[in-house]
Amino acid sequence: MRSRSAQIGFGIALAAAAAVAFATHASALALLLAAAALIVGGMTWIDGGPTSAKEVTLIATLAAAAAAGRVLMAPIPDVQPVTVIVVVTGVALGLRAGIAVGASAAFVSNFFLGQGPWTPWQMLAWGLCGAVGALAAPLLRGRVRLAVGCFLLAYVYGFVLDVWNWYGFYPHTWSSFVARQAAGFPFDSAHALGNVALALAAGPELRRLLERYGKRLHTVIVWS
Amino acid sequence: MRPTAAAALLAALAVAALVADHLWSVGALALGLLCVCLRAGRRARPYLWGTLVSAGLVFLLSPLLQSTGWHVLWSGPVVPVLGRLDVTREELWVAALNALRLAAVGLAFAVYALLLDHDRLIAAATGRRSVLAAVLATRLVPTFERDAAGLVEALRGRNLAPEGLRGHAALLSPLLAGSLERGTNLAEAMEARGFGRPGRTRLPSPPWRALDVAAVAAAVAIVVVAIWL
Amino acid sequence: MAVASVEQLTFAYPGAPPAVGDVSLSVEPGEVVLLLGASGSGKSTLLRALAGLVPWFHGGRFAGRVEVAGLDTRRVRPAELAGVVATVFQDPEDQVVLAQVEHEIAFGLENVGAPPAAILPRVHDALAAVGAEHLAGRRIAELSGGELQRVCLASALALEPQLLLLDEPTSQLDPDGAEAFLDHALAGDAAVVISEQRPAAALARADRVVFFENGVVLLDAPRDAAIAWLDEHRPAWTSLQPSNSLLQASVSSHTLTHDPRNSLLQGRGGAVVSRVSDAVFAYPTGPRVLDGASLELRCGEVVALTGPNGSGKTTLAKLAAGLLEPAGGAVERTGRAAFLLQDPGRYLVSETALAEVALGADGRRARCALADVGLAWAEARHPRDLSSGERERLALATVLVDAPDLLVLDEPTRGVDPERKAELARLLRAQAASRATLVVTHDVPFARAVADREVSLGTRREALVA
Repeated sequence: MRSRSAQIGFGIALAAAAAVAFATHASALALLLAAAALIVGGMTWIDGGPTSAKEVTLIATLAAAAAAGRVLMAPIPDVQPVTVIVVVTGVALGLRAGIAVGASAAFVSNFFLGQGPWTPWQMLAWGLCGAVGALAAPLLRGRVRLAVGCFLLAYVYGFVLDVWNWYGFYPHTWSSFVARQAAGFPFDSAHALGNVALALAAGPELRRLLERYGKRLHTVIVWS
Repeated sequence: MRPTAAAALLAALAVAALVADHLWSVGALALGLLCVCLRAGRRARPYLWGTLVSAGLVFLLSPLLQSTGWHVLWSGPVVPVLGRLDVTREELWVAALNALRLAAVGLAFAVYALLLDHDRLIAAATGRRSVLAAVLATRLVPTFERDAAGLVEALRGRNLAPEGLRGHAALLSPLLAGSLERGTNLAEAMEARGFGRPGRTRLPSPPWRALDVAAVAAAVAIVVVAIWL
Repeated sequence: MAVASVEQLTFAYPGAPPAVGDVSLSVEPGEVVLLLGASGSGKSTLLRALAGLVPWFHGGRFAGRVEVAGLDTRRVRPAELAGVVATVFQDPEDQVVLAQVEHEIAFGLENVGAPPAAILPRVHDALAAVGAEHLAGRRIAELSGGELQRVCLASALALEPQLLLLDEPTSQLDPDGAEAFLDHALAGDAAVVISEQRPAAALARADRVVFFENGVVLLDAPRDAAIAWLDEHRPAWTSLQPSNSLLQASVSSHTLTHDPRNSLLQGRGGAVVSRVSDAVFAYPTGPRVLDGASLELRCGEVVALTGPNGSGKTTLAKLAAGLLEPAGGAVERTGRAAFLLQDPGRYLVSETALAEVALGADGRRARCALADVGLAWAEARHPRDLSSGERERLALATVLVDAPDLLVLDEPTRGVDPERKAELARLLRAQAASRATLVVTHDVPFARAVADREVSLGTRREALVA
């Protein structure tokens, strides 16, 4: 992390989260502060990377295309392409791109669909999907393997999205945890199956497209 | 009110709701936010429904999923995994508190989404590169949605309408390819306008008015009071 | 002292043959230089070289020397040239970065480090210079294409550049909008280098003309001498109509002013392929676009549908082709219709040109269709590797391959050079007998050359100020 103010901000948020967490009646706030700290920290880390016009527009373009892709898939209920696009971005373009596109796609699509308390969690969840895509890239190169990866990540995504809802507002008992996760299971499964279908239909093509594009980011000039 | 001040006020109200201990204070916060939300009229309906459902679930389910307290109001059967189902007054009180908290936070976000001017809010923060990417993406989404609709229409014009999931999924690649082309043109235009050059200055933002200062002061006061009580 | 000088510039994009070869040129302060030539002939490359984008943004093999306001582009990057040089590109959607007009124009000023107190006044001066003060508080998403392009011009003028580069800036605008744009762009003190496919309006305002072909400069002369040379050697570029004596003989058009409340005169020709009667249509979010419009299309004739922006031409064309259902009135159609959208190169979906055309037919007919539009050599190429003109030809092949009974083309001549326009008119007329053809266009000379009958829609609503 580079900027001083961001470090200080991160530190304060973390400390506040810790303090509040000890007061057991404000667990929701503690987790929310922790999420905010993670997001601010993530933004600072991403800002520290290369920032040419090409890099900024690459993140923006992929995030916007992922959000616009929802419109394309609208005739098919319960299928949205964002997760697959984010994972493929991580696989093809690396860690920074994967996380940045994941977080930006969450923010951007909620801009049009409506922001809610789930926005920071969606940013973290999709950012995580992008990160997993990048870190597990060698494992996700085949069509079927990518589909399996996206299948599993749907449940990870669902967990991250629901964890705050459970930890913050439900009693901290095993039975309530199981019940809450079970309530989310149908949605996560629909998400998982949608991911599998998309990854099987278009996954490797998207990956090749992004890899070709990634190569063109580095320009080579021959002078004479 | 400038959006940054309003956002600060909303955040303070949400934090206060999450910290406060008394049913009446959290209830008052939720009610106040509900009134503000209703100013948005019909658009508020999906948000209100969503908040009602989530908060309602908390209120209905959590008493059944724990066993604390002494004043048992209802005792039910023993169910596998979940254990004995029962409802006590203490559990109801905790459930109501949590449900109202969730409602308050949900409504605060709803007010943010419905009534705040997002463009001005983001413009205030555009200094950072990561925020610029988000701003750019927001600007690009309508363009890409038109491109996506154009892809489908072009195929219909050739009597090749896309069918089912495979048909639509096959359009994701061309959509992304077209988007990346637009992105490259955009990057070129940005460089031609000096992006990336050291020594960047900022458009001065409009001055803080009394209302804005009052809102921020109120925000701080609310959080302090909530923690104190 | 020249504002810009180019000496023996030879440049090739990565993995491609040279785009320009041995080009030399100089631009004096305040001069207006017009670049003409077919798409892919090197005009855009020269403009980008003057902005430093070639070679820094694109990479490639660079030889020669380009100097702008005393700065050598070998040493200075495009971002650093920004205050001295400003560029307006073809598609405003691909240039605008932010969500509000004032912030958008201020973006360039912020980047070049203008003093903060001066930024907003310069933004308003720039808006005034392009006649768009009324757009000051507006959101980008609400603006029309013409208004957006004006904002892009304002963004460039706000930088107070010595050299203004315009790369086909009016290709997305209708003729009135194009004239207004050029008036504003050429009004200031800056030297201007502009490339255009619709030469008429720009020729009237240029001081000097440079003609490119295959990356080489064939002509570099003051305007009057250049017009004389073009008239002799490349007449397509100066005559108003695509030059083809065959076409001029077959033209027999008369204009009918179409009042939407009356029905239209019938056409002559073969069987009726599509008949729209008293159609009423409104898009979900807007007012009625068509109110009682009628149109009849017969086999063997070519009909041109003209009219200003906002008059409902595209909507009527889509109704005739069956892409839209009218809210009132009726559409009767026989046979198959094919509709080619505006800017069709954007909507190509396959990995090779042949696969693209073969989506609608078998391989043999696909090859024939590609040969018809002169792209037989490009069968195995990826559509996105083709130039914009080649992509449009590919898109045309995709709708022709199926031998539709009704062919509808929406603005097929936008951003297309005069030689290509003549070829297109020839192709449409050659195949006219086998189908009904409807061409929606702003380009009145093209309409006159290609059509048997011209239908002109009056303004249904206020034309957008472009």
